[in-house]
Amino acid sequence: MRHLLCIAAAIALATGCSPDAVPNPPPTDGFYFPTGIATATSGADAGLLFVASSNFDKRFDRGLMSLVDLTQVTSADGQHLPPLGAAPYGALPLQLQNLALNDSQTLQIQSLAGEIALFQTTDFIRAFVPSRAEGAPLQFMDAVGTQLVCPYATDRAPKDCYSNAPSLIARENTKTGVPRAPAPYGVTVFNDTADPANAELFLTHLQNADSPPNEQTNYRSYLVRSSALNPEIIESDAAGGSFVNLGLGGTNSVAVTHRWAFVSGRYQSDGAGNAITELLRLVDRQNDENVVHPAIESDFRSTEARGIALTQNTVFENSKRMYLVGRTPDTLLVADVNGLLGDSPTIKIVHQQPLPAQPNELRLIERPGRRPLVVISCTGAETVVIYDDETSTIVAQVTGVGIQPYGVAVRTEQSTLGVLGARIFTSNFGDGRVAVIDIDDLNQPYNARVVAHLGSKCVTRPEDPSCTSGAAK
Amino acid sequence: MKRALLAALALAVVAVGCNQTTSRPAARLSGTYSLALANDFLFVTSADRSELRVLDLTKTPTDFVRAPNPLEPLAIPVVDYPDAIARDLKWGEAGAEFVGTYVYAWGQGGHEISAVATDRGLLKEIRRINVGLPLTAVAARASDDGQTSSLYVATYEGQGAGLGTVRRYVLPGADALASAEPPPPTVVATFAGSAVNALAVLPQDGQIIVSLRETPTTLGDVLWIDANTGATLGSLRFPANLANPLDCAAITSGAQFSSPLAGGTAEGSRADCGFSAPTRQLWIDAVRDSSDPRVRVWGMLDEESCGRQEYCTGLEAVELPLQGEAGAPKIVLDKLGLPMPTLRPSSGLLTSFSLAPNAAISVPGFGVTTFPLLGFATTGSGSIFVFDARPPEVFNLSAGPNAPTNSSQRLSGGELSGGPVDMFTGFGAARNERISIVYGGVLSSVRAWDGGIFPEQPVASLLQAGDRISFANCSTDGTGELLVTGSPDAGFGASGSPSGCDAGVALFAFRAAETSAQPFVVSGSVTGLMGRVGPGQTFQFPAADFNQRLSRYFFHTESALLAPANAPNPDGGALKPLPDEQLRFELVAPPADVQVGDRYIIDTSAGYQPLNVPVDPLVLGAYPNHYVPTAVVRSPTQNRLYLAYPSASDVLEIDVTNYSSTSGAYSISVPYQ
Repeated sequence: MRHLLCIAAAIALATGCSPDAVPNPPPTDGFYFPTGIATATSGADAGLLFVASSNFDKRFDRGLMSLVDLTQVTSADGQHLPPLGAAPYGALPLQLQNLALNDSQTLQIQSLAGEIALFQTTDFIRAFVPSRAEGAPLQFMDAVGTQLVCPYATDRAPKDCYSNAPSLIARENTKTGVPRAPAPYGVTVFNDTADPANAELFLTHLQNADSPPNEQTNYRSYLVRSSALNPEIIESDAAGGSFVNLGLGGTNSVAVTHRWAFVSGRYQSDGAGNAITELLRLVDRQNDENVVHPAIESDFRSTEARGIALTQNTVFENSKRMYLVGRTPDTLLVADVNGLLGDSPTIKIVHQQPLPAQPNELRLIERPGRRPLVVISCTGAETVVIYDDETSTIVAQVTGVGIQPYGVAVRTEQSTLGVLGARIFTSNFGDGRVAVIDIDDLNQPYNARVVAHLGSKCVTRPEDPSCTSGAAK
Repeated sequence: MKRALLAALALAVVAVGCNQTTSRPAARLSGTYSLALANDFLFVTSADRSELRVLDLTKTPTDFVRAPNPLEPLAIPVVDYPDAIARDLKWGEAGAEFVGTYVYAWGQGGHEISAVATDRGLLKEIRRINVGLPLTAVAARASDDGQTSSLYVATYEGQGAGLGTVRRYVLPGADALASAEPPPPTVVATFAGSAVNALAVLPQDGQIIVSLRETPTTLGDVLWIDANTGATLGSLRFPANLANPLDCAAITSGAQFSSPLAGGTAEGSRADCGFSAPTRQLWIDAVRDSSDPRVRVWGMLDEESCGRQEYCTGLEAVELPLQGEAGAPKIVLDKLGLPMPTLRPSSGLLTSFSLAPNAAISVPGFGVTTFPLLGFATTGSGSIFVFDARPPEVFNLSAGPNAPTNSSQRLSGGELSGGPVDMFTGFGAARNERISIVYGGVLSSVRAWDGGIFPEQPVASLLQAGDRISFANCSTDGTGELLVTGSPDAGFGASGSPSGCDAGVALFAFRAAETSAQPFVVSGSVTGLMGRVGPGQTFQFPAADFNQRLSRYFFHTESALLAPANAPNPDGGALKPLPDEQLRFELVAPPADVQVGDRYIIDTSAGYQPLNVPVDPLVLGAYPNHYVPTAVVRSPTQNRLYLAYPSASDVLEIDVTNYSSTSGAYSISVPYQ
């Protein structure tokens, strides 16, 4: 019996020490329950796309980060993703199943990945992606050209980008158990200077931390801050630490200005069965102890908040527009924010816009000299909504996106029509594809349409009839 | 044994069957954003299922209209994600409202409209009309003979500065519409640089109200248009009797009190203007009686247009001149003969409103009373705000404000001697707020130095030479400060330029000089910057001249109690004038060792408690997620209020005549889900 235990322990150790030996790695030719998504322009004409496969049902041992070179993706009959403005109207979306991913374009990450944030330097594009599964790691990897490198991976296991990643729950087994950030999810990088050393990373987490751990008391959540260039988690909520104590109530996403971090709030229980939601909290970047609670619930009640965005940052700008996704009722809240240079900004909700079911993430499409378009993924309704903040109306509900659009990435560029347009990418959590939505002309956002799907739904949904029958995948 | 089992089973079936005759099947509503009353029916959106459901208000208790299979509620498939319903309206002799052949279901951003028959024998989508562009507003007018429906649709195209367009379809009856495409629409009007964000039809056939949002400024007019000719009959924001009608924007925002009338030296005022801001929802009050025959257009002001300042937040009504009558649209007068104050709930963003004629409600403490026209508005805070719409007035349940209280704070700790005495707050103008009187206080928010100081109003009118320009991140020769030079007339400058600033950008604020005759800055947590004052001086903050803007009155107190001295007195009783001041006090000198930042504090109360419809917390405990109602209508026959709650995916029915002082709430039925 002892022999058996020793053998089992040896196997366990061997497995633990050699992540390359993952017996059931995630598929690298597609996306598996994709969540986080981000796009960058460097390195390829059509751009690069970072996609996190969350491995939501844990069918595989790990999740995956994929770096897709959009110039290389092709359909079964060899078609490429057309340039913005070139896709014909009325045509069925191209099914670009061949992602052309080679071994250097994927890295293994922990399961249940959250959002992705990019940090661009002259040498590389760094992608940050936290994961909610075991260890709650903050993973980051650098894209050099179209190669994805994990800076902290070992030579023995260069594809393992989770084992040595900084953990956000490292103090879980201490007496107090805090500070820690279980279920990390939202991530943002902010830099309003030219020096990449000033770029700062912000992280949120979905679960409150209790103290002592597992006692379901003294719940609190944190905003985690670190350097984007030298990501290091300092496990303290005192001055100089990475953790900012926000008090009770979950967090979801974060948007940042020169002085303030805006944190959207998820629903959480206080442990005594009371629902706690603070839709919005503001953290003073100059003074972590100055956390502003604007109590926007008195203007509009909602069960919780999801995605958040602020109009493009200009250094020392005092006023902005804020966009916040509310859940139950499913709503986009639009607010005027003033006094951002002072000690206590004011936030006035000026519009509430009903949204299709289960809105999740939002991104802004900035228009020079005009108010932006707001792109929102509506996971339950399987649509992507485009809201025009100049007219305060929804100008397009894009259908045919796929199953459960979740994350959103946008890039603005000149279209073949010679005008400014935008390309939108959504990660379809439910069918394992990325939908590509084109707005050929930002003056005509109502013409937004799905032009392509990247990847095959047969990776995430092998039971789909079109996959089992061998029909078009 | 087997027989016994069968018998038991039969009994169970009978029992279930009996229950089903009295229970209501669930309609599995999801996305209950909008309600529309159409004669005996209440249509409700189930947006997430792209369908409408229908409540039959003639049933007791109210029930869903059943499908051909009577065990199931009727579902009417319509366009994708319908979050709005427009009614095919017409009016009877006394202005009573009826709905014609159709209701129209549509969704923002969608290109299609479902024409749904309202006839009990049909109740289905008759035709789907593809407009081809994203819809921004829809309204419909049934012909008086009921044969046709004029469907007005507003679309927005984003090219260039943007183009809002209103088109009219003339739709035949249901049979004809079902069998053939409708004739193409005619363009009623186009609006370059504007989107149409609300439409309403008037009893005068062919006349409509169009609410515009200018882009990118978010300003916008509200126009009265003859759809037959496309001619603009008038503006409901800028009536033409001012020499410069656009001055109404300044008057209604409180920036100025008056403006010259056209053709003369007389001054026009708030009473000569219409809506104080663009609107985002409209409702027509066509109820007529001999003393009050004019049609009124109610509008929910668009908070976007001014960042939710008071003059663009709330509900207002504008009255149209009678046919052949000289004059322009103008703001409705209240019981006092004064331009109505904007009606606002005590908190929350307005989400919808509707009006109901001859409506009874139980007002706590007063019993059941019937009003000629009641208004109901829903808010983002969850409250349901009730107001009297004819004449427009809030039901203020408060007996009045509490006396103001005062205190003090020294930065070094302890109390500050001296301070405000003989404090007065004006009922109807004073707010629930904390007023700070700060020695050497800040006159402006922090801003970036952009080559000069350029103070804006109201700071410019308060700034004095010698005041400090206090920098947050500059040394300015070791002081961190410069001094204001110049004067309001000659223009202001600075005693130098900032230097040694972190990150190369200077951040500054103006502070009152301690050496000035008025070193204290007065500001309210709600009102904002109010002025400055010195020791021994009397501080007065006006409530505004009652003949003019009335900008600081957020409600006119009960007319039997308060009115301006020269206002008509409909009740013949003794009337008191509205207060001239929001706040007044005298300042007793502080001690000699007063420091910059030391402050006196006055806490004022408004005495404003508008009537809300409280929703029974016990019911909400059993049926959670009733956060924000987004639509409200009242059944004309049952004194029932119906509220749509998308957060709970249901509709609540409230008997507003049945108020329980025990629960502090009105009676609520089981939600329609």
